[in-house]
Amino acid sequence: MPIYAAVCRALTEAGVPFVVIGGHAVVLHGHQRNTFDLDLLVAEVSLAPVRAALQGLGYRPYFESEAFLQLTAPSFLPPLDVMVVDERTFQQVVRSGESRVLDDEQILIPDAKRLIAMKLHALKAVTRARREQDWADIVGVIRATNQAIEDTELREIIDRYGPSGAFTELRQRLG
Amino acid sequence: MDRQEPLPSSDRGSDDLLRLPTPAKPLQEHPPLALKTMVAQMEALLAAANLGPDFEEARLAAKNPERFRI
Repeated sequence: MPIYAAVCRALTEAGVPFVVIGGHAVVLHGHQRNTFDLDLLVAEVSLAPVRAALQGLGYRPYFESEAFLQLTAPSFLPPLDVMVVDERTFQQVVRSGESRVLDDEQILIPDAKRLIAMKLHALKAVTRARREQDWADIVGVIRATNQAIEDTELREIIDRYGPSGAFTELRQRLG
Repeated sequence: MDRQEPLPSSDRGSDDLLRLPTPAKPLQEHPPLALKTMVAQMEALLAAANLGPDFEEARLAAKNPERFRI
């Protein structure tokens, strides 16, 4: 029984472009792991229609800041975390994004390098929980998508978005 | 609903950077899901992963045969 389709359809029908990020994007890049919260990236201009579309499905916000919206799910729909970015950043992710099919719905995920950048950025936050999961995701995506850690662009991403010592840490974890 | 004051994106100021936000405190855990919801999610995600590119084939194809010669 489709579980993601309702969310994807509601956002599409509301005319809201979105990108699936987080654990689902990690899995859709070929690194298998369990994940239940569906993480979405939207542009800040879309926040109001996103909220309206999701509330129309029965979602209820329980945590909100300028850049994050967490919603509790009605029965048989996935819990949602929404990250809000400026339009330029959103378009950068969209332009380099990759298409996938989830519950027969066409969705967009960030390309591997942008996804790694997001995971590295999350690791920089002192408040971040599940840091080991983030490192495992980064290593998993690098391996699954056959990235070379010495690749110039990836190295720049690691240095730019990661915490201090991220390159050394990743090299050790990649063996 | 817990409401926070907005935080600036951490990477503002450069034209070619992704400007990614940072929460002031960890995002909250969602309430536990019903088992049937968890199972449906796992099945849907697995099906989606199987529809995607064959990453293992690509990974193996990218390996240089020279590396495996004795």
